[in-house]
Amino acid sequence: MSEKKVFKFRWLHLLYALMALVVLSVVSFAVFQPVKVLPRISLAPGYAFTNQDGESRTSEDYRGKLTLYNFTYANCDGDCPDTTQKMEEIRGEIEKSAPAGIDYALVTVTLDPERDTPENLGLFAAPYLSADNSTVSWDFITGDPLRVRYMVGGGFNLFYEAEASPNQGSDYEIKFYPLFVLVDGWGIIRAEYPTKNLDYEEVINDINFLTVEINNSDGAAKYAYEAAHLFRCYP
Amino acid sequence: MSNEKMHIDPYEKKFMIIGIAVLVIFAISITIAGFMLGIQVPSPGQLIDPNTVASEGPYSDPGLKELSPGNYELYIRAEASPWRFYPDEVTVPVGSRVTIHVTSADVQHGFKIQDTNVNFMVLPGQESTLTYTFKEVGEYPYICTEYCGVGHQNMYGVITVE
Repeated sequence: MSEKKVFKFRWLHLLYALMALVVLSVVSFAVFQPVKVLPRISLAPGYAFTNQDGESRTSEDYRGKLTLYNFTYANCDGDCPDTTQKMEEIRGEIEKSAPAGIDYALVTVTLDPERDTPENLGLFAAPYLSADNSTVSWDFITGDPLRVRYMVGGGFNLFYEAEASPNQGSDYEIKFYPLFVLVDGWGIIRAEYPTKNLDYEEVINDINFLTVEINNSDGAAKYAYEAAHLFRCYP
Repeated sequence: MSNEKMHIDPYEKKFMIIGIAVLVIFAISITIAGFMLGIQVPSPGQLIDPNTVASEGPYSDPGLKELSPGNYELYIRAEASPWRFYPDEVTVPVGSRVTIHVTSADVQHGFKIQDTNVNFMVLPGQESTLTYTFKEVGEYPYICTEYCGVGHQNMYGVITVE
């Protein structure tokens, strides 16, 4: 009887222990989420457009920068969900409280490229860029209407359409739902905010998450971040 | 030598211990995930207020929308008063990639497009989303697959691919 109670080491025990360790670590990684990440929603679209100064702007110019996109057009008034003022507010907030050492950029895409030539966009952008000593670059971009549709509709999944306007002065208006999109330096969409009244704290919070990931994800830690991405539930 | 204890084969015993341990681990993780961390599916991005879906947002103007050439989104709102889908007739050009969004304004519904793998629950307060490419010409009826009230059998529509 006492003979039975003596513990004998067997290689099988080691195997059990290893298996238990693997299962426990995977479960605890998934449950406690020691590494938190924003999901990789999808690839941001590529484009080559023109900004308010007539300079070329492509998606490659924003590689390595955390970029916040919004969508509007110069004749946006009345009930139109113009979010450009919100962008200005967020720009100030990024300068004030976002982590340093990271490049940030803002991009406003016109949904009315037929009327919004670079000159018109320049007029629209002037009040926002007047005292421009900001560290956060801000471009208002426009291009070929079909290309804009491929970028905004196909790439960012934002539907917009022209409608006859009841307003004075403009013969048509663009109907769309407000949207902000946060794209990381690798050109991947990391957050979407389908709202007009975006809370800047939410954006700063997401930027903080991303910055921690950017600063820490090299060497062995990179695999911890990749594992964290695996445990995200993708929509 | 007492034979009071039931004899269990050592290997069987090990499997029982492992089996019970796995159950305990999963019970603990689900408890932690659900109650301590508040993990719920789906993600908050897919949550929507069922009281306002009919009056504001994309579900107030449901139907097929062309995002870019060949790439569409289709918003469908399921309602139980009267029992029907809005819209219940959709025409899609052949070869289109359609991202289908469905939500309910009241009770739990189902959504299945015949002869496709598009089949999901439709819950009030949540968006169900799936992307499907219609490669063949024809009529694709869609029906409510979860009993939702006395008018359940009237909930159907058709996607015409041409």
